[in-house]
Amino acid sequence: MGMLIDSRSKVLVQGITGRLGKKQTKLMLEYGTDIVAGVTPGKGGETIHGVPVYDTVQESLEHHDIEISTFYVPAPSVEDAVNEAIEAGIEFGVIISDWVPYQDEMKIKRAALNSEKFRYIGPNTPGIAIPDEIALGMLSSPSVMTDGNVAIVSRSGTLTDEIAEELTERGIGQSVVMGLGGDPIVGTRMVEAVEMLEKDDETEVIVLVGEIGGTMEEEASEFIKENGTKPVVSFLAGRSAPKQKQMGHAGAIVRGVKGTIKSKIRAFEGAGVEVAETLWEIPDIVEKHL
Amino acid sequence: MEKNIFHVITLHKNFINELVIQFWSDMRLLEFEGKDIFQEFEINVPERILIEQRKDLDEAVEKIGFPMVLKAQVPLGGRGKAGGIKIVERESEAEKAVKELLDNEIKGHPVNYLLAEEKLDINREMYCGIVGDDKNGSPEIIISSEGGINIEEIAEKSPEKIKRKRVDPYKGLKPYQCRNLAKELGLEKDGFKAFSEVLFKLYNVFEGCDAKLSEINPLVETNDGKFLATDSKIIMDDHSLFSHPKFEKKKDRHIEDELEREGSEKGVNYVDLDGNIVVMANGAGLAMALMDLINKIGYSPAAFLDTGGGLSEKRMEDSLNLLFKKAHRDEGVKAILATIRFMISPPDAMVKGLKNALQKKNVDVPLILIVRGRKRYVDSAKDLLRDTDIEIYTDIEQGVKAIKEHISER
Repeated sequence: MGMLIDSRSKVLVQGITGRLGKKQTKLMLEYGTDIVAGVTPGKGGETIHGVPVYDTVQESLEHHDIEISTFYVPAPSVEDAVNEAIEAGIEFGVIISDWVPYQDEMKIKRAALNSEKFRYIGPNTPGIAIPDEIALGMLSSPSVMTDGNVAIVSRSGTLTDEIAEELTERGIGQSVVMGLGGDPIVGTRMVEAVEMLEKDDETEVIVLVGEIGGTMEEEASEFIKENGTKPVVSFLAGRSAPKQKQMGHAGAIVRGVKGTIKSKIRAFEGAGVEVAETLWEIPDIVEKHL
Repeated sequence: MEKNIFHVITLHKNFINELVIQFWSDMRLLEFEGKDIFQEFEINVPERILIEQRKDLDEAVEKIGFPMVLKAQVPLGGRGKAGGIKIVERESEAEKAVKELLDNEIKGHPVNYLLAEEKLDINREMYCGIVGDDKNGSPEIIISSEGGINIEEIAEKSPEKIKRKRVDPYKGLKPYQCRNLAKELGLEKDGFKAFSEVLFKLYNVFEGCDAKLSEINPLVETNDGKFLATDSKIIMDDHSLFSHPKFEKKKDRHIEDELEREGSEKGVNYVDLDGNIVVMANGAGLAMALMDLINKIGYSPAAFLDTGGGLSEKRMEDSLNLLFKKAHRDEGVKAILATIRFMISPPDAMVKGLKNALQKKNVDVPLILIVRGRKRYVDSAKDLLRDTDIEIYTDIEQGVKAIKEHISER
């Protein structure tokens, strides 16, 4: 995954003085991530776990070389913070913040596309990690991930971490573990992640973890069918969810799932991607390809 | 791959559609709420009266007269075909229709309101909608010189009648772009002017409501040359409801199950189901994967609960209380399977919440706890729970299989 991040990457934490920012900065530092600065407007001059805090991204870049920023700012400020990072010259963003307004997500996407240089994952992503090298976000447990050649790309949060651990327990290491983010508009779509991993020398097998909704799995399947050279294994959570009687805040998760999961399974299978029926099967199928 | 307009428009039609699922958590406003918003944004709407009960009809008769259109207010499309729209000619007919509509459900939705409207003499029906393009980071404008209930058919059979344009969300949609679009539809004179103005206002609705979708179908031209939105569709964004408190308060109005409502109030994602094993996890994907495992071993989920991230003492306690209530209410529940993954938070808060809930547990249903994730937190959780008699596993397979043993023992 050299094209995005590696152990030498210099990292900024925007929103470092907040509860979540502070907590995760500590865990990322423990993992070995080279966090060189943090930003919280009005908190310039403080230090958090030994990391200097600045008022603006611009100011942090005057003192440090930084390529990556992780975002822990409150949802209504995310769009502003991302634009600040883009304008200051940050190249890669990991937007951990969740509950970002839809139209702000649309603007963030547009700003990134307009900038040409800036790429990002999230919002609402658990982050990205290269085991034993660098952790950006919540995927930062040394006991869960080990170095290896299987890439995990997931739309889920805790499930991403769980699958990494299932593989680790089986003695299968990972080249990269990444969450794309759980919202409709994300910075890196599944197909873009697969394209990158196709070029990544460390990755031999790709595990795609999908969900109901959207068209990311179908899109990725098309690319794999045409251009894929590496074995891909997939898992879709929620295939057994029964149809629901009512449209609820949560109820609709379950409603109509069957059809859509089916369409995703069809797309994957049509592209030669083996679909694991349960969590337990993932390591078995991956193992066959190593 | 271009997003098919068909997908946008079939929102009217069914729920097995990807866009509908994408909007699963979002609030779709009722027609009258959307029309009130249209009116605020100066889009013309028909004369109308909201009917909540029989006596409201008098005002409608006085203000609107006959013929009158009575429309059931339900958050879904296709209500006309489902009998949710009635045209009445006299008072006795109206009374009968009001009673019928309010007493019956439309595709499983209770009807709490009717909208009474004047019947228009329609010359033609058009379509305009605005929806986000997720791949491109732009709102997309979709318009058609023909609209109405057959819009899906039009999209399929005569795609040339439908025009689309993406706009930069930072610049918005400009009046001149609306005029250009109206020209593209071949509109002239009054129609040209009226359509471009309505489109501009509809974009303001999209922005002003922080909506995921705003749509007028149909936009009607009457025989006497008036342009009116005779239906409204606005899908709000859950993440933006904080800036629309009027609707935020109504967010749970469609939830009928008591426990689902309690879940929503407590900020957890609870779905009531009919099976025998209650499944809980701190993450929706993980909870769904567990449901699949429950099915795999021959049982079925009785409920789904996603506590969400950053599990606090209170949320853990509330979640378990909710599940105990479910087990109490529903005799079919044989076990509760809770899986907590520790990623960034130490287990102290979770354990406290768990212990609080256990003290009040009043059902004889086994609780099986699986703890996984960051090793030092898992070890500490096991340590902190040593003084309880709760069954703890650190392996999902063992935890799930323990359910089987429990059930066969009982």
